[in-house]
Order: sequence, then C-alpha cells, then structure tokens
Amino acid sequence: MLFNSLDFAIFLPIVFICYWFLFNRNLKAQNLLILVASYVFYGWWDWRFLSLIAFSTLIDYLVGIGLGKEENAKRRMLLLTISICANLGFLGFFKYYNFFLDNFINGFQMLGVPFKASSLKIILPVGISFYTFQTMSYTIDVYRKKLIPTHDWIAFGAYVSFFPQLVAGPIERATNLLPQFSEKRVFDQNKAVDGLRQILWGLFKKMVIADNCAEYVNIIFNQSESLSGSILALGAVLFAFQIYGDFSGYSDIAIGTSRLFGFQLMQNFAFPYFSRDVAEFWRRWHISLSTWFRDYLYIPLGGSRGGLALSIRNTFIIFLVSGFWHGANWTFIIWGALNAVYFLPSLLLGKNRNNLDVVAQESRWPNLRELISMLFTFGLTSFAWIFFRAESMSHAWGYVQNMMQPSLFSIPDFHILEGVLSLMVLIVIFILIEWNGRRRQYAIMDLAASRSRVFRWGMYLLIILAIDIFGNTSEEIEFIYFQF
Amino acid sequence: MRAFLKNTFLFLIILLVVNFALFLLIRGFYIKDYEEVDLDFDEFILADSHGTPLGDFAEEFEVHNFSAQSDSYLDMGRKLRYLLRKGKIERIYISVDDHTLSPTRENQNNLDRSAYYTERDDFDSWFEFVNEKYLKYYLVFLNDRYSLVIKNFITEELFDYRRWGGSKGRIAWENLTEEERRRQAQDRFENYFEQDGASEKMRDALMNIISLSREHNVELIGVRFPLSRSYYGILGEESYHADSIFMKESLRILDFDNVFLDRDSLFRDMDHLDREGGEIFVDILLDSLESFIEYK
Repeated sequence: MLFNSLDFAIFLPIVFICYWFLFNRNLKAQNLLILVASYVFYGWWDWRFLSLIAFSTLIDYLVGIGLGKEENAKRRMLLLTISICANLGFLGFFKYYNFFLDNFINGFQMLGVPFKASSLKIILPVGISFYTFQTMSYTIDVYRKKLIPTHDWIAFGAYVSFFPQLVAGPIERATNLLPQFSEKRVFDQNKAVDGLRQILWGLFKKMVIADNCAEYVNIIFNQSESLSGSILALGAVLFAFQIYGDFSGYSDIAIGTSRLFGFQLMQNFAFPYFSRDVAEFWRRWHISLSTWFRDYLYIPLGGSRGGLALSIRNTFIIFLVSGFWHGANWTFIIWGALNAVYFLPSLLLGKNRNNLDVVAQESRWPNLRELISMLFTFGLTSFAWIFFRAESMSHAWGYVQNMMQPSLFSIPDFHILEGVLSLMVLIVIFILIEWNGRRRQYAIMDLAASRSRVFRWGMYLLIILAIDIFGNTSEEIEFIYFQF
Repeated sequence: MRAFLKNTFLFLIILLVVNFALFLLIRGFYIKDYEEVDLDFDEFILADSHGTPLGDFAEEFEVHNFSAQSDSYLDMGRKLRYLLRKGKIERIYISVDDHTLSPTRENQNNLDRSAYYTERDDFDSWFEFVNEKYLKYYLVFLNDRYSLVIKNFITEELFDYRRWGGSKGRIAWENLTEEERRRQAQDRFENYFEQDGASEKMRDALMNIISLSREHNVELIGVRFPLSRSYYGILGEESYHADSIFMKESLRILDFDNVFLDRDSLFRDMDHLDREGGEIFVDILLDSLESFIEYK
C-alpha cells in the first residue's frame, strides 16, 4: 500500500479510529491492532512475502530470549551469528544473488574460464533492507547488553513490522522504538495535529516536488546521449530534488503517521542540501542509516581510533557498504566510493566535524561564504547522484561524458522539457520554505507556533491545493526507496 | 480527542466549501460550454477537436455541431445515448480519423465532463454511476482532470517562456518554417501513434455507437477531417483504422484528409482547421453529402 494512494487514505482513518476508540484501554490490544494493520499494509503489496517478515521476527525474538538467558560468551556469539546470518541470508539471496552470479560469470569469462549458470527471476521484497537492519539492531543491542530482551511477542512483532516505517524507514533502533510499545499511549492532540502537519508536508514533497521532477528526470536520463550538457546538468539537479522529495517525503509521512498513534520516530533528514560540506551532508541525509552503519559497523571496525590509515579504510568501507546496501549494481558502489572520496579531504584535514550547527543559525540568510560552500556541496552530491540514478555504469559514464562538453555552459533548450520552468518556480518556493524551517524537525513545523488559526488553516489549504493542482495524482508513483 | 475530532470535522467542512468555490470556477471556463446542446436539430456532428473549428456554421445546413476537444468514442457514445433519450435523431456525422482509436484516447478524453449526459442505465453499477456522475463531477479534489486544467492554465499562461521574449501569441501555422511545422507534426504524431495496436476500449465504444445507431435507425456517416501537408506526409500509412470498421459495417465514409493539402492558411496547426477553414470545410462536407445522396 502506498502512502500516496486512496487505499491508504481509507486504511489510515480506520486503523486510527479502531486504535483510539475501540482499543484505547488495552495496550496489548493496541499493539495487536498495529501488528495486524502492519501485516495488512505489507500484504496489500504481496502477501507471500509476509512469511519473510514473520520468519525474521520469530528468529530474532527467539534469539533475543536466548541471549537474555545465556551467559556463555561463545554461545551468545553463536546466537548472534544465527540472527545475522538469517537476516543477511534473506537479504543476500533476494537482493544480491543475481548480482554476484553475474559478476562471477563475467570474472571467469575474463580469465578465459568458461562458467555457466543461469540467474534466477527473483522478486525483491519491498523494504527488505529496512526491516532486516531494524531487526538486526535489536539482536545486536541485546547481545551488547544495551537492551533487555522482550518476552512480549506482540510488541516485538509490531516493532519489526510497524507499518508507518516498514518499507522505507526510518530504520528505528530497538532501544528507541521497542520500549514505546510497552508504554501506555495517551492521545495528545498537539502530537496528532503535528503528525498530520508532517504528513501533509511529506505528501507535498513527494507528489509535487519528487513526482514532477521524476517526469523530466526520466526524459533526460533516457535520452542522455542526444541532449546538451546543460540539460544533462539540469537532469542531475532535478534528480537531486526528486530523490530528496521522494525519500524525505516518505520519512515525513512515516514520522507523522507514527505520531498519530503516539509514537516518536527519529528524524531521518535534517535539510541536507543546506550542508556546507560533505561530512555535514552525511550527518543530515538518511540519518537512521548513517548512524546504523556508524554504530554497528564503523565503530566495531575501530572507527577513527586506530590512526589515519585505519580511519580512511573504515570510511571507505562504510561508504562502499552503504552504496551496496542501496542496490545490487556497480553504480551504487561507485556512488558510495565517490562520496568517500568527497569525504576524504575533510577527514585528512581533521575538519569533518566543523559544521555541527545549523547554517546561518543566528541570521535569516546565509553569508556569501556559506552560500558558496552550500552550492559547492550541492554540486558535488548532484554529480554523485548521476551514478545513483543511471541504469548501468556505461550509462552513467556516457551521461557524464556528454555532460562535460562545451554545451554545459549553453542555455538549455527547454523545448523538450515543456513545463519545466513552472516546476523550477515550485522548487524555488520549496527551497525557501525549507530554508525558513531549517532549524526545526521539518520545514512547516513552525506553523504550530502561529496563534492565528486562520493563517495556519489557510496555509494547510494552500498546501492541499498545491498538491491537488501540481501533484501527480493521476497515477500512484512508487517511492524510490521501496526498491531498496 | 473531542477537540481534535471537532477541528478535523470543521477543517473538512472548510475544504468542502473551497471545493465548491473551485467547482464554480472550473464550471465557468471548463464545463459550461461542454454542456450546451441544441436539441431542436435532428442531425449532429460528433467529433473531437477536429470538429470544433466548424463552430455553428453547420447550422445553416440544419446540422448541429456537438463536437468537443478531446472527445473519445466513449464520450460520443454517451452523447449519442443522451440525444436518443432527449430528442429525435436522423443522422450523425462522426469522426473516423486515423488517430481516433489511439490508446492515447483512453487517457485524453472528456469522461469527467460527458458524465453530465449519463443516466443510471449507462453504468454497470450504482457505485460507478454515483462516482462518475456526482463524486468526480462535483468534488474537485477527486477529479484529476480539473487539477490538470488549472495546472495547464498556470503553466501555459503564466509561465509560458515563449511570451517572455515579447511574443504575444502563437505564430500562425502558415508562417512557421518548414522545419518547425515538421517538428510540431512529428510531436503530434508521436502523441497518438506511440503504441502499435488500436485501443480495445475505443474499438468497443465505436462498435457500441454503430449498434446503437442501427437499433434506433440513425444514419451514421464517417468523416475524415482535412490534414495539412506536413502532417499528411508524416502520417503516411499509419492509422488505427477506425474507417476500416466503418467499411466492414458497410457504413459511408466521407474522406477529406487530403482536400486542403495546399491550403496551409486554413489551418490552426498541423491537423486542425482554423475558423475560416472550418467555415469552408462545412460547405464542402455538407454539399458533398448532398451530391453523394443525389448520386446514390
């Protein structure tokens, strides 16, 4: 079920009413409702893959209980290994099997050794990368004794499959989300209104910004060999907005929906395109994944404690694995490597923790230096997005080659992109709203502080109208991150 | 919780009020003309945008032009049923151009507006009837086409970069360079002929029109509208063959697609006549029909 679908518009109020009116006095019943609703939500896409979530939940639930009882270090490690192997096994099979097979075949053929094997027609279960990482965080934290294992299978099942963030995050830590399933939830109007507000902003980002950008991005990337450099550069910039609107829009809807049910999820995007360097960008982009890799991979590998060489190695590992997490394609690995290269100068100069605050914290507008550094960082990330969006390495390489022509500095021919100028106006308005709200959890959060109900509601109506008029409502376009 | 529900309800009421304000606006410039039909006539022209330049010139020949931009055979079928219910019809002139069975017509049509001409019997279920005739018609937020109309107004009128250079309007078709004409004709061609097979939906709708006409003794005459030379050349033999269905059903076709190949001044664009072209074409169409009938 997609957040931007009529199905979800009917599903959400039904679950909300049942949750607060029928089951509001019984925590277990509320959790059971969330569990059932989450399975219906996921099963709407393909019920066969519910068994995967159920199996993953069961294994980690049992491993958690085992870890709680077991004191022997070797046996504890064995239990953790079972959990990790099961989760990564699913992920490896469904997501990476064909990739590794194809690369083995190509590798052997390059060495002149004939190697025959046929790839499988595997459907990638939606959101598998998200919920496997979420459930792994539970067993790892229990193993590290940071978390007491739960014996409440309903609460655990609801935690793993929690429908607002099941298919595209934020990847919640068990330490944050699981305890919330054990606490009595009391309806709080301010939280619910805040949730609705964030959902509205998420829908705007997805349907107005991302889906409209997608239309032009698809044209430009599909015809990249015949277009001018300036149009290709525009394609990269539009994709930067598409993926931000799409993914952060999903996160906003997920966080907002959770708030309707009394849950608090972590912030997943903190206005990343206002970053002054790449290190800051990565502290603000897909925060739940970056911090997951930091806590469960980077720090166990030694982090930055073992000297510069080790630090560089670990940084590259994190970025490469992060790229590979996104998809079984060399384009994602190169995207990760490119970001590691971008990150390197600030790491070498010890400036990777320079910009920890919000840009122009005390002023309305950025100064020239901040503006230039933001534009430079945006340019670098947009360039890297080309590899992320391209179908293959040859496509990406061709795109970059065609873009780096003298025509890069020509005025784009907008004939082939009818309507793109009005989209650019919308993007400028979007940037200004985001800039204005950059100190908050999401851009229009400040509306809550406005005392005038007329102004607040007027703004909501304006956003709804913008979604209705400019949003791509004729078809339900999937969120990009569903494929990961 | 009470306050939350009260506010939500109040907000929804306001949303409904805004919806109706928008509906009135949209009705004024998008729906109103579509719902105008003169039932005093017994001969009608049913066509898409190719029929609209004919305006009311046909009324001199006692024929009412009931065409509308983007009308599909589904819309024409609804109009025909409406006419059969409300008036007395003897003859229908219907467009059988090469593109009328295009799958593009499944998305580019007037089903939102032609719902006005429907009744319960035109739908398989009550839900479909209420949804099409009332919900989608009155609720702006549920109707994608209304949104598109407003969006197009904003993007094409307010952000049309061609106007920024001081050019106030479109350049007449005859004054375009040959290259530009070919480019525009190619765009048009690609819009309709990007898929290989004809639309099953449109084919069925046309067959329904044919059988309905037979059932009610209405004479159905196919018309192929004039094309400019640029478009005629690009089109070549490409067609979804609505005319073949007419021939197979032994129905008459009046083919005018090459009648104005050397008269670019009569065209608004590659395959649409302008007002003057429409006036001249009406004379040719209805005169030729008379001679055709005399000959027969």
